[in-house]
Amino acid sequence: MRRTLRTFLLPSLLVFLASCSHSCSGITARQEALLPALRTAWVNVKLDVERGIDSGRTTDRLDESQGALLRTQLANFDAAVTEGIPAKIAAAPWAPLRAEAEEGITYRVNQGQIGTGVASSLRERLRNFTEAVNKFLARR
Amino acid sequence: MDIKTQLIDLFKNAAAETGQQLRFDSANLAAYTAERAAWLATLAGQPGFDEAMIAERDNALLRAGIAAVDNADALDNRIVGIVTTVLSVGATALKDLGGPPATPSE
Repeated sequence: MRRTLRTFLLPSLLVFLASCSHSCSGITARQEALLPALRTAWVNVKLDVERGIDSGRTTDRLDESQGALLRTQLANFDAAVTEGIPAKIAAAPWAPLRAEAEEGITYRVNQGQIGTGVASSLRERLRNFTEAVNKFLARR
Repeated sequence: MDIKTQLIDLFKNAAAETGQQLRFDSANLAAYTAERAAWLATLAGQPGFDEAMIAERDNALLRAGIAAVDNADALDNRIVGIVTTVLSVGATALKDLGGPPATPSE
C-alpha cells in the first residue's frame, strides 16, 4: 500500500495540483492577451459602426426607431467591452452592429471618403474582431 | 515502467508538442504581419490611408491575441488529457488492489 501511495497517489496529486494551476491558462489568455487587443481595436471598430448607423439614417435605410435601437445596442456592447465581462458581451448582440460597420465602410467608399484598398483593411479588422469576440466567449 | 516514469514522459511529450505549436504560431503571426505590411504599402496615396495603418495595427494585435488563446486552450486540453489518463490508470490500480485475494487454484 505504501508503494502504491508513493508510485501512484502522490504523483497523481501533484499532477492534479499542476492541472488546477494551469487549466485556467485559456481564461487567463483571454483576459490578459485577447481582451486588451479587443479593447484597442474596439475604439476604431466602434467608429465604423457609428458611421454605418449615421449613413443608414442619411440614406433612409434605417428609420428613426431602428437607428435608436442600434444606438442602444452599440452603447450596451461598448459598456460590455469596457467592463470585459464575458456574460455581458454575450448578452450584447454583435451581429447587427457588425452589419452596420460593413454598411458604413461601403457608404464611405461610395462617397469617395476612403479607397477600396483601405476599405479592405477595415473589413479585415472587422473579421478579426468578430473572430476575437467569438474566441473570447468560447470558454466562459 | 512505473507510473512516475510514465508521468514524466507524458509531461516531456506535452512540453515538446506545446513548444512546437508556439513556434508554429509565432511563424504564422510573423507571416501574417509581413503580408499585411506588404498590403499596406500598396495603399499609399489612397484616401483614408491613415485609417488603413491603424486598422492593420489592430489586425496584428487581434491575431496575436487569438493565437495566445489558441495556445493556452491547447495546453489546457493537453493537461486535462494527461490527468484523465493518470486518473484512469490509478482507478484501475486501486480497483485491482481492492479485489479478493488470489486463491492457489487461480
